[in-house]
Amino acid sequence: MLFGEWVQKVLVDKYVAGAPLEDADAHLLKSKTEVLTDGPFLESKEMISGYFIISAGDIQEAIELTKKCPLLGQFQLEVRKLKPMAQ
Amino acid sequence: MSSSKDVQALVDHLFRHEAGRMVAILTRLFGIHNLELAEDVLQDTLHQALKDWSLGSVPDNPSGWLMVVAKRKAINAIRREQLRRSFATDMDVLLKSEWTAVYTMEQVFLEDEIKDSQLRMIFTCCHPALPMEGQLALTLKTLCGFNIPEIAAALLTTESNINKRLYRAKEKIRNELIQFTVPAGLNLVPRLDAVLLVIYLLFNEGYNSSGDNAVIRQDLCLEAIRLGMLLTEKPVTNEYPPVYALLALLCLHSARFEARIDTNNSLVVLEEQDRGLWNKELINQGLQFLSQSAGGEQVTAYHLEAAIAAEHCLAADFAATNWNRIYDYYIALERLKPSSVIQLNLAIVIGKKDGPGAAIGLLHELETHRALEGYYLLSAALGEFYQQTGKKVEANAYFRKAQTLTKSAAIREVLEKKMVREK
Repeated sequence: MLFGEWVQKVLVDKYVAGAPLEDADAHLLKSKTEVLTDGPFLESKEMISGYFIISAGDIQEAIELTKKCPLLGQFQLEVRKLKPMAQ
Repeated sequence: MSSSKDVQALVDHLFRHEAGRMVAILTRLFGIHNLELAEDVLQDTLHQALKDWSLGSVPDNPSGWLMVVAKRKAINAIRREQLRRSFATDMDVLLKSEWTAVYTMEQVFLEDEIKDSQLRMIFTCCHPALPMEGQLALTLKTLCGFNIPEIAAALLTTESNINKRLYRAKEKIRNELIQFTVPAGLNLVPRLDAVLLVIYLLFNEGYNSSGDNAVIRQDLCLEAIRLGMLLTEKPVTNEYPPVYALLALLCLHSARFEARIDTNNSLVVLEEQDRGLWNKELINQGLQFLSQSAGGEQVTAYHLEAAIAAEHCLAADFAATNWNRIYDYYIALERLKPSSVIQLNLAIVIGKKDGPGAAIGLLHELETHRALEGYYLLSAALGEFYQQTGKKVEANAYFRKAQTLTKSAAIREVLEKKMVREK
């Protein structure tokens, strides 16, 4: 199954947004003046290759849906809740 | 390097054939409210083709090339416009996410989906909320790939009028939030009837109009048939018998297209047509559609008009025409949609069946009908029947009158020939 198929057939209307991330041309900002380029800077085993936001009822449903994602096997997927910002 | 003239001709040709498909796909992606964006991407694709093919060579599969380039330009347009616009509601999110944009687009470019998009386009262009003249212009523009001068020639009006009609139609689609969908349930039949009416009118415009541009007129007829065929290719619309009745009518009339024009480019009347020139393939196709149309409970005007055309096509020569059966069909037609034009046809059939005397009386009665005021065919028919009774003076007076009432040079010429004809 392709990623697009998973989105259309498994997630149906629960996909919100997402994008893969470029590997090169990363900029790490450690302070207002210090900008390090030529990243990414995380260890390769924990590099973030992309993200997507889905709208599931709860974390358990999100996990079940993600288990069917075709990216699994190629990548590890981390499922996390979006934290509401404090007012 | 290819000659730029050849390339221009090829692009023009492809445009006619691919424009409708490409605009339908692009509109499926962008949403009907972005029809202009779809048209821009299409234009851009064709310019690219013109440029690349003139400088280099024409690809082996030009249609395929156009699709690939249109797809690429569509992706670029989505990336460029995604913060400013929303696209088709059911795909907006998917087209705006890099993970899914290309996949979503590929799905829409699949052959079966293209047909589906074209069907959505037909129902949108023929939406009853739009004025009829807007429906016709929009259908020719978006589904048939006609350019503005061609539409103006086809609908016998000016280019600026066509531009206004298109503008108003598009505005109406946006303001009334007309959906880019194939209607379902109880809505389907009335909406499908509206589509059939547009196809019928387009065909009539090509077949019977007084326009003198023969190429455009034949194209109109072919496009009408093509649109009708599209309805037979998808479930739901292909289960509606009047679709086949209309197609039968279009095929049976088209079969006579060649024979209607002689080598001098003049019109030839039915009586004098070389029946050997009638297109057998189209006749057979028409008869097949006619038998397919028999499925439903209702008999529509399309059924009756097709049956009348079939009678003409089946007669070995003019003398063998079964006027009695044609008379029955006209009576049924007159009952179904009473109109002065049908009564005029009925009077002519009675003239063929029972002799010119019977017709002349009926035709004079019709002269008082408002709807036939200034209609050249009424005067022409009177001329014809007076001539048959040997009343030359009356005949010529009516032929002259008919000549002043038509704008078509071809028809004036036919009438001229009738006047000098010895009876």
